[in-house]
Amino acid sequence: MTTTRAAARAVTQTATRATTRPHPLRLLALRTWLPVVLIVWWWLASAGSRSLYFPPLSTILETLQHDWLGPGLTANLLPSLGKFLAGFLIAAACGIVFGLLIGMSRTLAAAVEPIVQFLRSLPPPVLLPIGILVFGIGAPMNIAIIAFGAVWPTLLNTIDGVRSLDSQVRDMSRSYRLTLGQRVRYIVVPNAGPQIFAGLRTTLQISIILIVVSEMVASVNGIGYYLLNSQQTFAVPQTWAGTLLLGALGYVANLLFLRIESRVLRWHSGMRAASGKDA
Amino acid sequence: MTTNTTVLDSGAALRPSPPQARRRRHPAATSAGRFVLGAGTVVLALAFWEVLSRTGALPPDAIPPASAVLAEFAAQLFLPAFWASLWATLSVALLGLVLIIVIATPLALLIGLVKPFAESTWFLVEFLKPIPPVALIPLGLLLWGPSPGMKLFLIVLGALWPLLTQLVYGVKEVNGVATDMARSYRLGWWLTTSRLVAPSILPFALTGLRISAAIAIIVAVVTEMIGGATGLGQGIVVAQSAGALTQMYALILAAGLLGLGLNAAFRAAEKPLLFWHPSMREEASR
Amino acid sequence: MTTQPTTTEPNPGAPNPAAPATPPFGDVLLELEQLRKSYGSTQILDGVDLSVRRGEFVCIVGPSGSGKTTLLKCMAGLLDPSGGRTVFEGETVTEPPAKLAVVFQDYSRSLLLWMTVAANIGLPLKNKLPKAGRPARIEEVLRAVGLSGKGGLYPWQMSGGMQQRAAIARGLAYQPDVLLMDEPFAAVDAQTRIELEDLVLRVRQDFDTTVIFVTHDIDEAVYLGDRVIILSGAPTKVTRNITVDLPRPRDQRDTKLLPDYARLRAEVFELIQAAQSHASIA
Repeated sequence: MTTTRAAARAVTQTATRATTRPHPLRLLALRTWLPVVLIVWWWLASAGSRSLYFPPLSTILETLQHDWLGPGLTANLLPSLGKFLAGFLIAAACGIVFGLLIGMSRTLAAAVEPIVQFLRSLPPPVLLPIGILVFGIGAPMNIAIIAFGAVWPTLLNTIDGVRSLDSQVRDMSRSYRLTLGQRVRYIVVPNAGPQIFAGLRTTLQISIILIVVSEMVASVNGIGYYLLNSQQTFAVPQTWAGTLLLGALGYVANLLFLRIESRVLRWHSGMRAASGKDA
Repeated sequence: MTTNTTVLDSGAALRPSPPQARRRRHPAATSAGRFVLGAGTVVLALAFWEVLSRTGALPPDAIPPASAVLAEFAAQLFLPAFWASLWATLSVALLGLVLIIVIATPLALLIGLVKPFAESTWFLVEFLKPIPPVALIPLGLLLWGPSPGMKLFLIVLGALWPLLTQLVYGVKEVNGVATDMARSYRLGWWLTTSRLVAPSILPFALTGLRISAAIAIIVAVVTEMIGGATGLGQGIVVAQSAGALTQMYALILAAGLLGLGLNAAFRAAEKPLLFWHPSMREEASR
Repeated sequence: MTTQPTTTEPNPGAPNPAAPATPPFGDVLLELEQLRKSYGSTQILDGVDLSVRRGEFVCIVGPSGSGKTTLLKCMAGLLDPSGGRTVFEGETVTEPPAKLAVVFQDYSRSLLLWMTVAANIGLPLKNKLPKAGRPARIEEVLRAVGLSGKGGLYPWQMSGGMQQRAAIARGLAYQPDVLLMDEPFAAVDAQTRIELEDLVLRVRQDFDTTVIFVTHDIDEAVYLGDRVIILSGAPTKVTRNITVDLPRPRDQRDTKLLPDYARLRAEVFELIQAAQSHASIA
């Protein structure tokens, strides 16, 4: 993990060194021309398409609207989102709590290290068959798979964040006789904050992967189920529509997450902005 | 874009904390002590699993005893089919990584150095990056069927972004300060590239590559599980549907060991390549 | 090693009759008795004896590589000595005492970056003062260090000098009987350093605090201290204990023009040189 932290530090400096930006309108034009051209090209190129595999974009969008803005919303989208959110929150909470415990106890860290290293190296989707055997098919299984498969980045990053506490801060907190609770609340957790969030972002990405995959193999509703079902029944526009929807959801989830991160870690982004002159 | 400290790659995260004002002799203070603790927990966990499974506390039709799984794993090691499926997964993931390097390097140079290019592709990259790679699997299956080519395509598309992002950071970093030094000492193109640019980008490249590798394995396994392309993932699903539970668990164990092995390989590569990097000295300096 | 009894006193800490400018000090506040510390086979502290009276300003100097920081950590109860003991207000120190505060060397590492300066100062007060009393105390110490109205800033929004002022304010707010300072000005520029030296002298007066000040800077030690303790190179012992009988209040210009100042400075310099060369031979 060490290189990442160094890389992050370097990035901070790069970001602040970033030279003067062009005019906002020019920037907007620069940033939007390519996506616009691509979408227009897709629209025109596929407009009269007879190909089974590449239906017209208009058909895909109609399918998207028909399948996902109507009854599909409650039948498939909301259950997926609910399961995803539950799984992600459980993974996040467990990762942070156990990460704090392991990070603060060297004995515990040494004891669990081999098992943790093995479990986090496991490609999470291979847990699916076990999940099906233990939980059967349905929401509990989907949630359990996310919680167990996505917890590791947060856990490891929290451990590393706790460990990264400066020795002088540790001395300071002891010499001012802060209680254990105060140390955890005011020092250990905020200090690990940036790394916890970096871990949470990966946990988020894995959670999305896992909700999709677990619904593909062990669910009777949800986006993953819909997507695989449409592929297997050769419902091509539906497959395209589902893929687009998932892409959009991934994008929005990431955006929301970044919003929350910058809100919670206000001090950190402020410091990074200021580090140009005082690092 | 905030710093991308993402981390499927926390390689050294469990490294022991620096020896700090310790009061008593600590069981985790020596490497031997840590080994005993770690090995002890593994043995204990396996024994616990064994007992729970034998006594029926765990459903035996879902979780067979540890000893049976370990025995099956050992037996698998002698089966050519096992190595074939392991290789099918690993080779396509490695091939994907090579392709990713080939694609990401020029892209990163362009994005890092050519401002209009960076701005023009910004939205596209930011949109494609968070898309879950598995979302494309059904589409890939639909278009190309369960072929190695499809697997490769999905791996490249899903695992390209971490390396690309890190490389762009690296390129921008070099472009900032160190090149002034190179110019003022008139180092020339070759010396600048080999002694300055490459070593500065290397830490970023390795970080990105490690995350990309983890995602590549995930995508490969999922494609095999869902699409039925040959490999470990397919083996796991086949074993499950055939009710060969011990074999299924043995293959899952193999998948975990494969991930562990990849991580260890990256860590082993980092040590000689990045010996000068502050991260490698952290323990000594604290 | 010289043995001429210039200004050395056999009984450290006792009021010096030859120095009327030095105020009389109170009872013994902190005492080190044959303090030893070793890591494995490396011995850092080799039986350090020291006694500090209430109200004194004691500077500890030593060649680089002498265990200054180790010594300070043992005094502060942050490190357990391998032998001997620290006695603070009559009790053996086994953990950081409640009436002792430390100002650390590197302000950028001891202030919490995620808290405003006021919150940084307020954090140690959580166990000392009820909530209602804290803002007034924080404002008082901020004023004392010249940071009035700056409590809402984050440390990283301040210059190095301001950050170290904030760290000093945190120590003062804790209302310790003794303030330990570990090379507090090592990382600030020369001009800021001069300002902060005078600041420390002033707040010591205003808050009536005992100060133990570790530094590697000879001028600083002589300028600030009532006494200068000179350490040998590792393994570290106290080699000399010099009373600084310069008049107070001290002044950056006038005090440093005094012949006595030059004499003391030269003496400390020679002792440190001797300790250093001794250490490099050993």
